Amino acid sequence: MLNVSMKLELPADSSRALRNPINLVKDFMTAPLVINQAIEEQKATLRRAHALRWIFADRVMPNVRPRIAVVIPAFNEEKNILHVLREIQELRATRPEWEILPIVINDGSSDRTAVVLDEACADLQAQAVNLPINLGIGRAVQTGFKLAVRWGADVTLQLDGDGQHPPSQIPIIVGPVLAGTSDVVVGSRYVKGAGGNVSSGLRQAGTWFFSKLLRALVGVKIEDTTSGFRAFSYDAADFISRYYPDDYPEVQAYVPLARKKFRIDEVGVEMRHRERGRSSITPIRSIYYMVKVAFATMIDKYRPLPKRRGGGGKEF
Amino acid sequence: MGVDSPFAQIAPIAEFRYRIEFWAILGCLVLFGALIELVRRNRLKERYSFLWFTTAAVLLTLTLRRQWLETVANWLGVYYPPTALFLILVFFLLLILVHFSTVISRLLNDKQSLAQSIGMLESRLKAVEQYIQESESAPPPHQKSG
Repeated sequence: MLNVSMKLELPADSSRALRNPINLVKDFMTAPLVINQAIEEQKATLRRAHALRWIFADRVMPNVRPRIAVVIPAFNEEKNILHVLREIQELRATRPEWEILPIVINDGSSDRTAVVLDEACADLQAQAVNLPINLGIGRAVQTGFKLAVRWGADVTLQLDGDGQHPPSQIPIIVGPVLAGTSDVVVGSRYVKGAGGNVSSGLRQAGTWFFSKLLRALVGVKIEDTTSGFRAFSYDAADFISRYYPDDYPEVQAYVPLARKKFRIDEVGVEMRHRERGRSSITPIRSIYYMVKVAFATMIDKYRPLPKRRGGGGKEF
Repeated sequence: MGVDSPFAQIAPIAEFRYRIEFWAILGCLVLFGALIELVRRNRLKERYSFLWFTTAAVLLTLTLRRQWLETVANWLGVYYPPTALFLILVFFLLLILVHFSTVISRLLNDKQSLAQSIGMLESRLKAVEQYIQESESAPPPHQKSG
């Protein structure tokens, strides 16, 4: 459908140079301009291809390469978001066998996140979704999952826009899902092989508490329950796109997933401290978080859930 | 003389009794009127007015039928019947408040879904615009070389 050839066409008209040798010099002088123009053209072609792929996302052509959708929720992350996208660009270069699409969900940011994204997305081959109002992390991520499912992503993963989750770790959590041995893979800070612990004491206590709670409620054995760095198979992403908790989705999402018999696994990854900006979690909010999530998790065990669809195959 | 004393005792009580009934009836009628007017002007949906109408109707009935109110008060274990009226009023108000909470939750849910759809549509529209813009400013190579 699209011709994305990388050929550079230099002004190699040999007869011009033969007629008058000065033309050779002239051509030589203008070559950088021509190359620049060619590069610009190529970029434009890529941008067009990227736009087309998005416009007709639900009428996908058969995928040649496995599709990896990276859902990045961003709330007031104008300083971090480009950095994350560039790192994904680097990952793209090291993994040409994958088709990686970052989907940034700008959750009603009040800073310049929308502008920054608007300028950069076409060239970084990312997609930005600007939510008109702040919906909270759960709903923002769900928006990304809806798009990823529509795009037909084989693996959908969540990556926080503040730079805590290094994109270089993506292959670690994507691997088991692509291999089909697991439906949900959590990138953990606590499992053996993880690159150290970067979270605060209070958060660690909460994480431990939820780990015990989940084990008791639905038998899910996960250490790092508050990690948002997770990869989902197509079926799991499809389920999540129709049923995802509101405010603090990390812990709560496991109960419906476990009840629907999705295989959940944990692998060790490295995480970083926030580079810039400020975390949205404060002590008072942490306590509200603990109470709300504990209550919601217990209710979730008895809640009606939507049906699990698919069973390996895509709808389209 | 003998006729005077019982009246002197009963009259103020009777007056008080009628006074509170008067206010209760007036309140109910005003509520009815206001509700019908709000529904008529499309300021209140019928489906949200029914609970209010029920409340007003129950209060009005119990005020007019003193006997029923006393039965209910007796049944609830309330000595002074008009207090039972307040108890019933509080019960209905609670019912209405819970109903409103469910309505708000549903509205919030709908709002979130709408915002998601708007965001997704906008991103798709932007892609269309991008494609058109790129196609116009730089026609694809195979057209240019011709």
